[in-house]
Amino acid sequence: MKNIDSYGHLRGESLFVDDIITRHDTLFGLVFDSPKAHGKIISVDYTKAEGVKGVIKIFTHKDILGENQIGGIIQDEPLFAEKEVHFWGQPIAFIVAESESIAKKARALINIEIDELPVITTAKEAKEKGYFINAPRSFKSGNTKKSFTECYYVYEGETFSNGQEHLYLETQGSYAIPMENGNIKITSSTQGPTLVQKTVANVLGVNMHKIEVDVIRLGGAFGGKEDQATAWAVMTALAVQQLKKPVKYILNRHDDLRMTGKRHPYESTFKIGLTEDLKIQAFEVVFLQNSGAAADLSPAIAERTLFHATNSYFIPNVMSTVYSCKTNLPPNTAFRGFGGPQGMFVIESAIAKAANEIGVNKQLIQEVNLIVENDEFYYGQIATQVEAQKSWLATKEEFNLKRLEKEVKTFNKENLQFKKGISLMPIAFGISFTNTPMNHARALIHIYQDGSVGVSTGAVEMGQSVNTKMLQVAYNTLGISPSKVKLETTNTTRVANTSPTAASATADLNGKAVLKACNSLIERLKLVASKMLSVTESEIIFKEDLVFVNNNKSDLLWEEVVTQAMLERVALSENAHYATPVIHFDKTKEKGHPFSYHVYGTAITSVTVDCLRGIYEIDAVKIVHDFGKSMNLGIDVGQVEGALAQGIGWMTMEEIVYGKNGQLLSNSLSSYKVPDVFSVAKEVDIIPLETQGNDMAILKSKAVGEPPLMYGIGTYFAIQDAVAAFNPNYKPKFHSPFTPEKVLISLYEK
Amino acid sequence: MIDKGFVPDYFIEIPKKLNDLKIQKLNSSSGTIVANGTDIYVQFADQLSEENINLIGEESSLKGITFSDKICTIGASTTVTELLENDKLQNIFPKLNSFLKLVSSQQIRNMGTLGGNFVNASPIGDMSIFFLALNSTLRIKNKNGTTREISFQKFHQDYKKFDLKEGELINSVSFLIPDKNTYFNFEKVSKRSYLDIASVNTAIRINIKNNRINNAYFSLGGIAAIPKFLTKTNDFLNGKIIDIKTIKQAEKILQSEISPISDVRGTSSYKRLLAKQLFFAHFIELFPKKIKFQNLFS
Ligand SMILES: Cc1cc2nc3c(=O)[nH]c(=O)nc-3n(C[C@H](O)[C@H](O)[C@H](O)COP(=O)(O)OP(=O)(O)OC[C@H]3O[C@@H](n4cnc5c(N)ncnc54)[C@H](O)[C@@H]3O)c2cc1C
Repeated sequence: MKNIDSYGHLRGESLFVDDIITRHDTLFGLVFDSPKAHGKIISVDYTKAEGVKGVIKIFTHKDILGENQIGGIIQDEPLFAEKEVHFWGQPIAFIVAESESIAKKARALINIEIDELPVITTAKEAKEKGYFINAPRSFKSGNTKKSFTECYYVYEGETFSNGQEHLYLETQGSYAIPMENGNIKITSSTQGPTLVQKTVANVLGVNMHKIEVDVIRLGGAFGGKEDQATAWAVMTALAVQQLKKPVKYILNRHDDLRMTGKRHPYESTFKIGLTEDLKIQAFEVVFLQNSGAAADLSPAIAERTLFHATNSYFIPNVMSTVYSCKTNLPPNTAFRGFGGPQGMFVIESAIAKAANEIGVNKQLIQEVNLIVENDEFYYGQIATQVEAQKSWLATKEEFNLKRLEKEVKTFNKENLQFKKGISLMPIAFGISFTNTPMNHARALIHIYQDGSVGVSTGAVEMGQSVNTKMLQVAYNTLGISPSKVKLETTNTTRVANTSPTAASATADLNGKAVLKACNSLIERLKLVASKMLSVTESEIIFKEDLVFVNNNKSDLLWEEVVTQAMLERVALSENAHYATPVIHFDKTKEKGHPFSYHVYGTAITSVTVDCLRGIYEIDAVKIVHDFGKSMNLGIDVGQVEGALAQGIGWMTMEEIVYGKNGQLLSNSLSSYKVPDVFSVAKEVDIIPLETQGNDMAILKSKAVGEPPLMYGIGTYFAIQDAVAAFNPNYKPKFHSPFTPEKVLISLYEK
Repeated sequence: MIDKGFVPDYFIEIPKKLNDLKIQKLNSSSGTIVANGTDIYVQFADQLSEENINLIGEESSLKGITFSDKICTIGASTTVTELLENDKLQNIFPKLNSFLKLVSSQQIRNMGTLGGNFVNASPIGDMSIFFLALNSTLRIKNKNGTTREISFQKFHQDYKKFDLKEGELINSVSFLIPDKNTYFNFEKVSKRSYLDIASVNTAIRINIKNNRINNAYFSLGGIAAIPKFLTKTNDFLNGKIIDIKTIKQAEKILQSEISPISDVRGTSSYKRLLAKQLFFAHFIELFPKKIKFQNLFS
């Protein structure tokens, strides 16, 4: 089944926040944000701005009736700066005017005086000065100290991975309208409708039931709208609360780039110890996470970094620590992979470093250390249904790695100006919110009296096709044709108290709830149908819009059963709740079983570097991926391709640059580059791994949103391989992205 | 297309709707010059929406590519796509297609003009670099229609400063058509190969006579406040035989002529290294028998 949005998207008919028809009296908002990264606000003069014709009101912290606070995990982030600013782009005021261009004019007339304070932009600096978001966290298994003394090889090194801009096509935005009795309805481009509802209520000083949040779909999010869609929704709601008129705010690209947080840059150090036969015995790692000026989701992201510090390897002695360092950047936030990629980059770097020092191929070390059945992940979860080796071996075999390697060797022998490089990248990514209490979802299903069906869940459609998957679960379980089913918007009044659409887990959680609700409805309808046909319930199934008895078609239609059910006053609506079983995690011991399962896979990446110009092309990425039993291979392969491209971008060209003064320099699409169709791999091959699937996944179809992003890490090491083939003096460095600049300098370093 | 449902019905009415639009009388010859606006509207969209503008993108006197005996003249409002699709230019520059595909994107090439590229005066303007190496001449016109000619090398003076007086605009650019003893190459390296702005871009035009360089025109972008014409390097090359030694010596001179700064497009040391590499690349591309990669880098 195709993505159900494809037709609407292609014709430009799909609705986003900025497409909904506005009320005639709608006003437009615009944020005035800090033009300095750190300092005391001496004064802000709004008089000129307020004098602009068409400006209705400029809101500041003084206008807040509730709490000036939007922090989620830690309450450390004001909606509007009061006395100090902590990052360039921090909201100070919200201008509401008759049009956006009037608001822009007014913004240019605001005068602010800031007494500047020292600016910190790197995690290392923050650590030295002792600026942290919260206390550091450590996971531990075995005894690394002792183990290192017994290792044959021990190496240390450092790595850096840069941030990444989400670059959702649809920028952040919100449209709030006043309803009766002081209630407010907000259409928001958010991954977390409940978070928006809760935060709005808190800032406005009202209860949650006064606030309705509706999400049609997002034009991309990638984590950037998990926490950071909230502020704009709160501002529009705040204005509505006081002006009693609809207020819309859609960020323009420059404002969005400047004011929102990104993937966390990490500076890390590692120590790795191996036996003579290349078994990794001990691994120590310290991650410095550049969290930005407020917590946002940083602590949760830091936690996932620790969970993925060993990627798909079994290492008996591990000690990992993460510091969430407070800097004067916009609060960094969730981004596809959620700290996992940053963790994996370090272990892969450590292995590369060891391989280089020992003088063996990196793959040899990777291969002998892959985690196997019943090994323990270092945070205590026993690995079951492990597909690490299987996908590794399948990748090597399916794509004939031996031949590829030979081709690369011959090519490199015959060519001087061009060099090829190759790498393997295995992944093991845990599925579930690492914060166990968040692993739940609900679905509300109505069967209307004509037999058509409406499905509401807590899942937010953001291009990942979760709605298509929900529809598949519903129509397959009810045995009716897809055209009878509609996916409703995600709305807090229909499905409440939801977790954000994140952690790759949304299709699992919400899908299981849909399944449960549909099964309950089917049980009731079976009873009705059995009476109509005078057979027992157990003989009945619903299929092809008909009732089947003992697997034989009857001529009783689905619609007729529904009509009869109405007459018998049978409930045709169902609300089901699903909470993931089994998982648990004890934060006092930092041990447990946090994931319902892991997703595995392996990618081979090959690249060609032009050693004259320092530019490169990615020839091919060949992947064997563990989809479980994919319920929609077209969609799932699409997710792998997209995630791969994003991972390649993160590792190659996406370079976030802040000036020493904390100003974002890569502040436009001309200075921040994401991969285009020419810069992703020329050939992408994806083969599904043959597996049994996992019962914890919806219809045994494993989560797919985040894991494949980490295949992109392979590109870094493939380029490194090619550079090393050209320059024997090259000392491997682990400083991503591997831009053409770093490539050229590496090619000619002495 | 409409019958088959590829495009919506309203497409049929678009020409009529466009005709019916009452275009505001914002166009005035005293307004800010806008060719096709791909540059100026990125920078000053808000401002321009309220100012008078002087739209010159469609002005016929500024369009067209003409060839006389030895000279090619191109109107300032000619777009990059128009260059790319010109048969004669393709004959003159057999690799024109691959050069120009490195410039912006199809959409921007369809709009972006030469005049706009020269006058936006970016130190890494691709068309500036291209036409500098052709040793072009600019024809500049003032309000009264009087024209004057200057060498393109003299046009850019300092960062975003250029030789245009009040009321003047660029009318056309012209250059000597390369003969069979003249070689031309264009190189550009950016973070992303396509639709990106160069870290360093460069072009060279070399005329060979009796096995020696008769004249060389070498331009380099991204390494100074202006798109740079490297006079000293060019002077050095004149009269020389093309061999490894000459090129290596010339490269040293090149380095003395440039002063790159570190910015989002790269550190200054990277730009210096890149300038060297791309200078060599010209010769490897143009004279593959004489100049080989392995001889330069071993
Ligand atoms: C997405 C994107 C990608 C781009 N990529 C590239 C790239 O790869 N390489 C590159 O070099 N540039 C690039 N550009 C910049 C721009 O497109 C080009 O410089 C283009 O050639 C400008 O032409 P225009 O007609 O749009 O100029 P306009 O925006 O209309 O004008 C630019 C300036 O020139 C002045 N002007 C225009 N014509 C004349 C004239 N005849 N006489 C006097 N003054 C004049 C205008 O007053 C204005 O100040 C890119 C732009 C965008 C938006």
